[in-house]
Amino acid sequence: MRNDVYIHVNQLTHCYQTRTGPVLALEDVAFDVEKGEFFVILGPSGCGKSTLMRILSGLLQPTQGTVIVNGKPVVHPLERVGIVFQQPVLLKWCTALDNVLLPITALGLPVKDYMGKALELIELVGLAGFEKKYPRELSGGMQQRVSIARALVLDPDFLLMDEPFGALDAITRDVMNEELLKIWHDKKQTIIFITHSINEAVFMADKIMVMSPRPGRVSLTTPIKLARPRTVETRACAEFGEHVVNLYNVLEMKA
Amino acid sequence: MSKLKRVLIPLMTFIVLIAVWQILVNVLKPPKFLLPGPYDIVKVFKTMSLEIWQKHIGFTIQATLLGFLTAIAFGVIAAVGIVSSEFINAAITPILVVLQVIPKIAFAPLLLIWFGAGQFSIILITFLVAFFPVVVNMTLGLNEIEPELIDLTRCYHMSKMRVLVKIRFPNAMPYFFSGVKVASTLAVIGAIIGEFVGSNQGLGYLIIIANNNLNTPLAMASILVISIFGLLLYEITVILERISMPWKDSSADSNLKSLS
Repeated sequence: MRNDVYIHVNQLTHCYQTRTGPVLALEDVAFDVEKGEFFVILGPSGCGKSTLMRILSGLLQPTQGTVIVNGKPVVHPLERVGIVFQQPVLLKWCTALDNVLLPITALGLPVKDYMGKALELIELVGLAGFEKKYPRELSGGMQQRVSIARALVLDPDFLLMDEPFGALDAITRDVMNEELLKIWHDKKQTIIFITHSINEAVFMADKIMVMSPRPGRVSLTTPIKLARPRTVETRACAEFGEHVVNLYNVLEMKA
Repeated sequence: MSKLKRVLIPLMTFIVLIAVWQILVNVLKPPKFLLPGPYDIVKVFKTMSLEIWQKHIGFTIQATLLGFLTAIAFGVIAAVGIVSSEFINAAITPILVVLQVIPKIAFAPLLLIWFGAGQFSIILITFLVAFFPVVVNMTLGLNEIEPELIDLTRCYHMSKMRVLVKIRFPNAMPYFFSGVKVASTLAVIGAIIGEFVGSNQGLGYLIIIANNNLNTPLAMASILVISIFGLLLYEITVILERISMPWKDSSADSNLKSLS
């Protein structure tokens, strides 16, 4: 294993026991993610993306295979990974600030040590002035930004994002793509980003791993060498279009 | 619509209805035992002694409150037990489901035989009717958590107790108050019907006596007092709800939904 490999997944297979019999969710998934890489997993519904994410975070133990993060095998839920789900999953009774501080209070760490960081992150995600607002007073996009700030509050090296912008409207989604890249450029965390949008995948990724469904398998892995920082112009350039067409073909073939 | 209009319009409608009622009574002159007018009911309050009113009102209010408050306490405890322990869940939930379906009022005569015709029976009936909405709603509220939120608590290695206190309890508050609002209306009904079945005190008793004597004004006056009490109980709950949940959407619709 090369020493810049941060995440190593090998022979990952997972089988669910359901009422109607065993369901193979993932079959022989293997990939490596380098430190600081923006790694995108692209696939249609049913390709086991969410199962994969739960295994990567340690929330689920695979029936077969290993996941090694930063040299250590993942055997229980990882503490210092920033997780962002498709839904914001905020505590409705807490302010934006208290929601960002949730990992701190949950782990029993001293809040005053992290207050500055939390406020900084709220500003970073573009929500300055909204610290004391409750989730019901925030739009979907704003709530999701709070959830991203929360994922960053422990300064994780590793971020797991499962279709984080899937519930947002298309315009907000494009804006959030750029915002996330800006945040990432700051600390260059290792990010695994799951999506079913080809456009989003090409815009964000250093490398895209395409998965096919039933059972979830790796179809192909391809680097995206578009220049950074990527802007709206990137979406319009020829190379971007080529990547998109390429991926459409890959996904079509496996449908 | 401005706040002032929202208060004035129902108030005006109410006054007009009362006026129409009084006019009808004056014009048609129905016998008092059939349809008394608003003034006849007011006269009941003037003529009957304050002491007697206090005795009966006090009896009913005390019984209702005791039954209602213990129902809330036990309801919350039972809900926490059901959510915290698989054993308690398996043991209690089927029994609760069965008891929920049986009209608790049907127990009233039985309770009277077992516990006599005193205030205790009334408290017990009130407790029984108020208990179920609280425990059912509270259990639902403690359980209805997004699975991703549970995932997060596992990532932060939170103990079951901390999850209960920090996540489940706050999440359950809206459900809890829904249950309490329903319980408050049921508690008053339970107390009155308990008194109908067998009591020698209370507003329910007054209604029975009034009916037996064809003293319809007294019956209606008693119903008026009960209604005011029930309304107060409900409104106090609404106020407590608003105070304890500043984060909650407090639209008029949410109050109406809980009444149905």
